[in-house]
Amino acid sequence: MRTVRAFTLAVAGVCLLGTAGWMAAQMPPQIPRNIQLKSIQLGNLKAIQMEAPAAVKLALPQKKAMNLQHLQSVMSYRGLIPMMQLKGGKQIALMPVEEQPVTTVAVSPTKMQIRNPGIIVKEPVTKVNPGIAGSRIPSSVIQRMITSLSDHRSCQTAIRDQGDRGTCTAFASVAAIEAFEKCKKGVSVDLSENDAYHVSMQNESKICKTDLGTATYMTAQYLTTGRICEETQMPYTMLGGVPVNDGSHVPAGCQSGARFGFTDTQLVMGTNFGGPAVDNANNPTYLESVINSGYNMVYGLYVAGTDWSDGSAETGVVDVQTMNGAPAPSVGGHAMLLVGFDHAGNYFIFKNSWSASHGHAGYFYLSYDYIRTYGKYGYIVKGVAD
Amino acid sequence: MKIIRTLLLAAAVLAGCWAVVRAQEAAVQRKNFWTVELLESRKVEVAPGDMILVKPQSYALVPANLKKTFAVSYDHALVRLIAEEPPEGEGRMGRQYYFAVLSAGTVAIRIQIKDDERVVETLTLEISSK
Repeated sequence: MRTVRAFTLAVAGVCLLGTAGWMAAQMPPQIPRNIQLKSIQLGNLKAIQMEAPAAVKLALPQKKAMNLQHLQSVMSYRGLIPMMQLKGGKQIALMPVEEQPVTTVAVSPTKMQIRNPGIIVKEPVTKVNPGIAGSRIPSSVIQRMITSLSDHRSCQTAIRDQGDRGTCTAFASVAAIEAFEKCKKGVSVDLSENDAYHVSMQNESKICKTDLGTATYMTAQYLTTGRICEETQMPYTMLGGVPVNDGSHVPAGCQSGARFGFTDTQLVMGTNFGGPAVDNANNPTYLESVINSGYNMVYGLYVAGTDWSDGSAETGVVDVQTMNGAPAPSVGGHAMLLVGFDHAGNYFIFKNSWSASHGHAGYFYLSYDYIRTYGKYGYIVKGVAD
Repeated sequence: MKIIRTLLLAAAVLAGCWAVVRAQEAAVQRKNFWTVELLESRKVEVAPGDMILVKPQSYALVPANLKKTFAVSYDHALVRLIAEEPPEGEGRMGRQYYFAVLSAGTVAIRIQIKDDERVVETLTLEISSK
C-alpha cells in the first residue's frame, strides 16, 4: 500500500513538474528585471525618453504579428536591436544599442520616435536641422499638374562615373547644383565631386581614403555651410589616387575657388525615418509634385534585388523583388538625383553616377513601388550659391 | 520497490530541473553589447546573454561590387542571429549581424563573401564564453 501511495505521489510529482516546465517554456520570455521597460501601444506619433539599460515593449497592430526574422522587412529600428518577441509576435521588445540623438521606430502606418538618452522629441525628424530649412512645399499647396511625364534630363550636365569609390552622395549633390546652375541661371559648370566628398568627410571627421560613405540628407547641411570648387581645380581620382591624409590634399586653387554650394534646401524624410504622413520620401504623389514644381531632389535609397546588376536597369525599370515572401533585403544605400517621372509607366527617373554605360544612358528608372519600399530620404534643391 | 521509488523521485527532480532550465533559456538577457569590426579573423571573450554586433568589411556600392553576396554560418545552439542589416548611410554595401550569446562555449561565426559564386573572402570570429 505504501508502495502504491509512493508511486502515485511520484507520478503526480513528475506530471506536476513536467507540466510546470512545459508551461514555463511556452510562456513568453520575460524582460530581465534590471532593465527599465516602457510599454508603447503603437498609434499616433509618440515620443519617449529612454536611458540605457532600458527596453521598449511595442504592442504591434493586430495584423502585424511577426517573427524576428520578418521584423527587419517591415520595421525600422536604427540604433535599437529587437530583443525578443512576446505574445506570439504581437509584441516586440527593443533595446537601444548606441547613442542616437533621435531614433525612429516605425511600423507602417503608425510610428513613434525614441530619443536615447535625452529629452522627449516632439518635432518630426525633418525639423531637427533648422540650418537648412527653407520654405516648404506642402502637397496641399501645390496644385499637381495633370501630366503623364515630367522630365528634367535636358537640364542635366553630362553623366559622370564615380568609379571604385563610395562617393555617390557627392555625385548626386554636385549634379543637383550643376543642374540648378544650368536651367535656373543659364550657367554651365563642371564642379568637383572630389571636393564635395572631401567637405562631407571633413564634417564627419573621416578621411576620404577610408571611403566610409555618408547619409545623403547630411550633404544638404555640409554643402550649405561649406563651399566647393570646380572640377579643374580638384579633379576626381579613383581610390588609389586619394591621399591618406585628406586634410592636406585640397589644392590651393580649389581652396580659393570654392564658392559653389546650397543656399536653400528642404529635407524630405521617408516614413521609416520620421517623415510626415503625406509629404514624405516614399509618397510618389508628393515626389511628382516636387518634380512638377521644377525642382530636382537629391535622394537616398536602399539597393535591393538583382535588377541593378542583371541588365534589367538597361532595358526596363528597377522594381521590388521578393525573397521568402518579403521584399528582398537591402545590400546597401545609394544616392542619386531624382529628375523626372513617367506617371503612366509608374516610374521615376534618376540621374546616376555609374557612367553612361549603365541604365538608360546613365539614367535609372525606378518603379513607384520601389520608392515606396526602399526610399529613405532626400532633399529638394531650391537655391544654390555661385 | 525502494529502487523504483528512488528512480521515480530522481525523474521528478530531473523534470523540475528541466523546467527551470527551459525557463532560463527562454529569456535572453542583455548584459553587455559588443561591437566587433571584423577584417580577417578575431577572437572575443564574452558571457552568455551578451549581444554582439559583428561588422565585417564593407565595399563601395558600385557596379563592380553588385554581384557580391554575403553568407553567415554559426552554431545555432550557442549563438542566435537576431537581426542583420546593411551598412548605414549611402555609399557602402555589405551586411552586419546582431548576435545574442545563448550559452557558454566556443563558437566560430563564419562570414563568406562571394563574387558571382567565387569565394573572395572568408572572415571568422571566434567567440568564447564562460
